[in-house]
Amino acid sequence: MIIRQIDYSFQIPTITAIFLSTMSKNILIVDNYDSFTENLRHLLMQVRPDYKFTVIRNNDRVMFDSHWDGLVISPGPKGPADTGLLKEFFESRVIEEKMPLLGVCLGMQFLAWYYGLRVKPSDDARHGRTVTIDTTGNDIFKGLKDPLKVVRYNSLAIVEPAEFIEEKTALQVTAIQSDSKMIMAIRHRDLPFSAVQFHPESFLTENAEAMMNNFFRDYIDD
Amino acid sequence: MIEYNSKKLETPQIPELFNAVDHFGGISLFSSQTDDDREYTGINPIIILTEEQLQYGYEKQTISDPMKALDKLISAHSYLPEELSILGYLSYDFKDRLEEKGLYERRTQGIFPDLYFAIFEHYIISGRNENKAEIYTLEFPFDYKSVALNLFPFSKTPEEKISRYKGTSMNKKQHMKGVSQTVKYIREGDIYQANITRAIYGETEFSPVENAVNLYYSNRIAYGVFACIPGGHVISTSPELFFKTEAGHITASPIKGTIMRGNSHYKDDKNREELLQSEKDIAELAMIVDLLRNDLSLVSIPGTVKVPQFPILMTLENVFHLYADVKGELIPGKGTGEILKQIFPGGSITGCPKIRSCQIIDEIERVPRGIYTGSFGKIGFNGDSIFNIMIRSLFQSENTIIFNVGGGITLLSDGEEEYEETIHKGANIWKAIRMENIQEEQYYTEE
Repeated sequence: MIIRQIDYSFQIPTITAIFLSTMSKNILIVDNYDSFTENLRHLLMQVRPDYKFTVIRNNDRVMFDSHWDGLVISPGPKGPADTGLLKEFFESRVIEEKMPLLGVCLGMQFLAWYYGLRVKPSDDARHGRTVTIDTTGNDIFKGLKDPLKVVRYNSLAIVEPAEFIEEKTALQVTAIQSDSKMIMAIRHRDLPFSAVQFHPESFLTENAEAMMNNFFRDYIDD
Repeated sequence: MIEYNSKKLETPQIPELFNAVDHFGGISLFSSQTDDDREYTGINPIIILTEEQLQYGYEKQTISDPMKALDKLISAHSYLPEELSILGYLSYDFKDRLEEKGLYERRTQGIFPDLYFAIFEHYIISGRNENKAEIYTLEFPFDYKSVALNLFPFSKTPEEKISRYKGTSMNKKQHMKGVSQTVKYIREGDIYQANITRAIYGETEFSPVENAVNLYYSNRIAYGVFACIPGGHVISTSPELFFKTEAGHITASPIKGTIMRGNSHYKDDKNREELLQSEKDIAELAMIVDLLRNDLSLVSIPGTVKVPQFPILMTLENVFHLYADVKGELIPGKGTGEILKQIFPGGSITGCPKIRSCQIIDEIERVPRGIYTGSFGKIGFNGDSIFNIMIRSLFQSENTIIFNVGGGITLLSDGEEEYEETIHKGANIWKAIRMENIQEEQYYTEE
């Protein structure tokens, strides 16, 4: 990528800035010491081969040192408060810069928790199970089939029902599990944050690439 | 330069082969499957890599990064024929030395080295299906203790011998408590699954070769080991591959889910369908497949890690299993040492997510696992490698024996059933070493 950037800047300097920004973006993946982070990175790289994805563990201050065009929060063990420097980074950088964000599993729970929702052990814990979800058909689900089969790995879930979330918080619900009301995806009303409870990086989740493509197109691409 | 010569050999009997390993020191990796019956044996280790040093004959060098040293050792000898290999292992306890400092406490069992790889003076490559064998003998360009390899018959002593039970690292009560703690961690969102195991201790009247021969004939498996190394003897009847690399590709084939074969056509079909429809087994297999996809992705070109078919039915003599292949195209230049550094230990014996599972295992299991659930393997000088998962293994140091049993704990696991399962899992070992197949509780009085 660096070589290409230099080439273009030599030839057509006036439109370089615009051109480069459509060509490449710097995306941070915060890894919550998870075992699916590489699956996620490879999925994202397939969808945006020209973007640069950097994985940094959640307790590594290095994440504060660079400019990022977007943030992806990985799944991970424990609860939303057990995410190292993530809260500090989220407050000082993500909100501040309106940095586009995609949260996965613990990543979604972090977002929900940050905006005041409760995340607790659920009676419907599932690990490696395929479930059907109903989506709003917008945001990252635009143009995808509905309902959709996705894979879940979570014991914890958002406690509050969709109606409460819509009324009382800045978040909107974009998908729920068909056979229960478990919150399966949310977005922020005004900020560029979107998140899913299920695992798009699992090999058994349908339409994961299209979903990620929607995220990049609506949130990050120029 | 190491010189070598090779010649054909009459296929040695298993007891003869194990006898030679025992007598001169060495490692034999074997498959005893009906259609794939062979051994790969290194005898008299000359170049030895351990955690802190690299030894050439009598001369020792201190090293700082054993995984790098391993890759250097392979590339430095790439002129040797592709039939020759480095053999060795990583103990499960070695995991803390491959991760970020502070994530795991440093544990070590202290009986065997935590890491051991060697280039040997003699290699016997034997295939029982074709009934042929070849021996390679290496000549090293430095001083070393050479042995003239002679295979001598192994005479089984006629008297009746037994092994005696001496205790366990977790009795029934402790094991059940460990299971319920694990379930609590799963409910609280720490992990999705963890493998909880315990050690069983004993004393045996059998020699290591006798135990190895008895275990060899107890089962037909693909990833067996008999090794005579510093600390004692290692005998494994592992059916499980960790990974293999071949011509720039890496493959793992995780197994989950087991059901007995039926004794009639009807019953056999019924059991097969039951396994194929088992949501629990398919979910557990999906989890380990996702975990291995992740680990292989650490060393593979993005976009190349695939699961061609899911799930696949494996039909064995006594049981059906479910499994799947996970395949990737390796990033050029990744040596086996580097691959091990990134993906060890195997996800099927930790749990998921792996790091948190390993921490929980360290907390719940009272003693270090040692080599158990580590990986033994072979790295060819052409770079191709194959590593197993060290389960169903017996460790013998003089007349002291240890073996370990355990299982995957999920949200719905029941302590009583899991404990029973650990006893069943050891069935072949109990029987082969003639240890009283006990209801262990009888050995304990209430605390």
